[in-house]
Amino acid sequence: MSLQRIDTGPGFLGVAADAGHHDTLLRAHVMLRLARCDMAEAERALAEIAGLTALHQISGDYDLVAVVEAPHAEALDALVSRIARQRGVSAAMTSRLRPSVSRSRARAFASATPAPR
Amino acid sequence: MTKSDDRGLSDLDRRLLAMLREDSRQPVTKLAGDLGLSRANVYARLSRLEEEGVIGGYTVRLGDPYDRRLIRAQVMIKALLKHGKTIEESLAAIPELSALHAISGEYDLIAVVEAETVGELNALIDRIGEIEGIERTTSSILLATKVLR
Repeated sequence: MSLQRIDTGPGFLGVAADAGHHDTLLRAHVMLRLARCDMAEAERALAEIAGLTALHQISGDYDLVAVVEAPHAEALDALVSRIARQRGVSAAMTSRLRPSVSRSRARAFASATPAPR
Repeated sequence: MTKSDDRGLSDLDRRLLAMLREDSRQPVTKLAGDLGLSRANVYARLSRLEEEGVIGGYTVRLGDPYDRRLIRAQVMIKALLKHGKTIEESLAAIPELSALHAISGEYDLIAVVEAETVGELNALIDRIGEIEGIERTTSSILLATKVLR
């Protein structure tokens, strides 16, 4: 089984990416550490960013994982830096998804996508 | 049998798809009866939709109570380059793995894994860490999904 055949898991990257569509969007996964006092406000501000398709609260060194998508590299860079500059964000670690290996054909996994909010 | 129209599908195709999205395990006899078509017609329609890629596959939708009970974690993996291929294969063989993405940056792969208990999750993460060629992993449990669109 090659990496191409492993599908995006349900409810992780965002609705379109999770469906495994062959789109041309570039995606980045950004881990964020928040200043404690600003948490709720920072979350609300992040949720308003249009290119953001998923935001999860996580345990560990970082507080949140955001997934952003954009049609080209410059737009993706702009989105990532906008997120990193967001008030209340004290640290960010960005990983770009390598499109050739993140895309996949059919869904291999049983899934239920949580209702979008 | 009618071909797909310019918009892709005929009304009957759409109705058939809607019924399958409700329950893809309905017998063809029942689908044919409800649509007022012959069974042969429904079979032909289904294989055409499959061929055209309108139907990409049939899957299982987990019930909410089960899905909600699952603990999910993302495991960021730093791998030794020369083991890349075997690592992917070993990870792909883990049934609890629900996604795997190659990334650029500090880590090489992000895996999303699901387990029913914290104990299972722990064992799973250990198993991933033991795969040859994986230098280190950093795991985070997904506590809540704030946005998904």
